[in-house]
Amino acid sequence: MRKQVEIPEWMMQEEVYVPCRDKDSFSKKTSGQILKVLGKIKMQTVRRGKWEISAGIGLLLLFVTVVLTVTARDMRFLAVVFGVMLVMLAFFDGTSIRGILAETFCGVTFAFIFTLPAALVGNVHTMQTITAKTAVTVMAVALLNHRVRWNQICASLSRLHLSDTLLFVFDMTVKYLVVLGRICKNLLDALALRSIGKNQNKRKVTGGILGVTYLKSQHMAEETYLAMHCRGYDGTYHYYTEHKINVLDVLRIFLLVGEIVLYICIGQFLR
Amino acid sequence: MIALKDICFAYEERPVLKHINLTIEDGETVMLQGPNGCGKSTLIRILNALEFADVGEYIFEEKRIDKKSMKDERFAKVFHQKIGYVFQNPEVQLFCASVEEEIAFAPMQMGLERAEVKKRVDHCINLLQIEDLRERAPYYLSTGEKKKVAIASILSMNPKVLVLDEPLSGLDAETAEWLTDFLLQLKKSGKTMIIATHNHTFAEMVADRIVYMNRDHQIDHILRLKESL
Repeated sequence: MRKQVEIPEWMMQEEVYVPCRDKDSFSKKTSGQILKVLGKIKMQTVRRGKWEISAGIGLLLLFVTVVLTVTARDMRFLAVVFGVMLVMLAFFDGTSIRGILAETFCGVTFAFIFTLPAALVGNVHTMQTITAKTAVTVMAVALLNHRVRWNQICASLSRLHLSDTLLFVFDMTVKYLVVLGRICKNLLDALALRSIGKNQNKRKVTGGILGVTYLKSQHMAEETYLAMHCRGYDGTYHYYTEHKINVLDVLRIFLLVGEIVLYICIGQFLR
Repeated sequence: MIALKDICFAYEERPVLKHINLTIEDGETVMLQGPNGCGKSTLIRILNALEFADVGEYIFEEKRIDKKSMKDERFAKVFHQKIGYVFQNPEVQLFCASVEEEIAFAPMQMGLERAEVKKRVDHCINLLQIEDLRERAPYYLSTGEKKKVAIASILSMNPKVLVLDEPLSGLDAETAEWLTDFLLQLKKSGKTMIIATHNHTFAEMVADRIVYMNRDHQIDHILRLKESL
C-alpha cells in the first residue's frame, strides 16, 4: 500500500528570502575555465573537412623541422623557416592565429628570460639563437596542434609501433578529459543553482565535487574496460582512419624536401 | 510569471532554439515535448539562467533575466531560490557526503534556524519516503533513489517554480508511478512546474499545457489540456 503524500505547510507558502552577501566567485570562475578547456578539446575532436591534413605527414614535418632547427648554426635558415611558417599561419582563422601567436610569444618570453643572464655577460649571440630556435619549434608544434586532431596523432603514433597500452591510455585520457570535465561542469552548475546564500563550508563542497568526479572516473574506467573486453579487446588497440592524401599534404611534402635542401645548402655552400 | 519573447539560441553557429515565444502562469504545469535534440534541455537551461539567449527576452516576475541582471549577486541568489532545477541525471546534482546534508544544503545557506532546517529536512525525507537513506552517501544510491534525493534537495529551499528535465528517465515502473502521484500532489499545492519529458501518458496526466517542439528547434504547437489552478 503506497503512503499518501501530504505537502507540508511551509512548502505551500511563498518563501520570503533576503540573501546575505557571500563570495562565490570560485565556482563561477572554475566553471568558466572548465568550459574554455572543454571548448578547446572539443575543437580538437571536430573533423576539419577538406582542410584536414595527414597527421603522419604533419608529425614527420614537425620532427624534421625540430631536428633541423635545433642543429642549425645559421640564423638565415631559422629566418626562412619562420617566414614560411608565418605564411602558413596566414591561412588559419582569426581565433587559431591568436592562439598560435600567444603560444609562440609565451615560449619566446620564457627563452628570453632564461637566456638574459648570458646576454648580460656579453654572450648576445647565444640569447638570439636560443630565442629564435624556441620561436620556430614552438610555432611548429602549435601549427600542428591547431591543424591535426588528437585521435589522428594517436593513430599516427600507432604506426611507429609504440606500445598499444600507452596509446590506449593516451587516447582514453583525452576522451575522458571531456567526459569528466562535463560532469565537473554540471556539478558546479548544480552548486551555483543551490548557492543561494552564505556557504560556510566551501572547502567541504569543493572536496565533494572532486570526490564525486574521482569516483565517477574510477567507475567509468572499470565499465569501459569491461565493455571493451566484451567486444573482444585483447590488449591490441587499432585505429580506424580514412584520410586521403590531399593538396595540403603534397605541399607539406614539398616543404619537407625544401627544408632539408635549404639546411644542406646553407650548411655546405652559403656559409 | 514567466515570459519568453522571441528567444533564439545557437551553439557554435548551430541553431538550438529559434523564435521561442511562451508565457507560463503562476501555478501552471507546462510540459515540454519533442524529439531528441529539438532544444528542450537548452530551453530549460535558459529558464534557469545557466545559458542566456542570443536574441530575445526572458522575463521572470516582471524582471529581465540576462547576463547583466545575473551579475547582481543578490538578485541571482533570489532568482535561484525561486526556481529549482532537477537535472536529468541526478548523479551530477549531488555533491554532499550524506543524503541529510544534501537536503540541508540550501536551507543552511539561506541562514534558516537550525530547528527550521531540521524540520525541512525531516519533511522532505518523509515526503520523498527516503527515511532509510538519511545517512547514506548519495553517490552509491540507485538512480531512482538519487532522483528522489535530488528532488528533496531542491524542495527543501521551497522554490516557487520547479523545473524537471526528464524526471522519469531511468526509473522503474513503480517509482515512475510514485513520482507521477507526487508531482500531481505538488501541482495541487500550487507549485508552478515546467517539465521536459518524452512520456506522453505522464505529460497528459500531469500537464495543464503541453508545448510540442519540432526538429526545426521551434514551438510546433501548444495543447491546452486543462485550466491551471
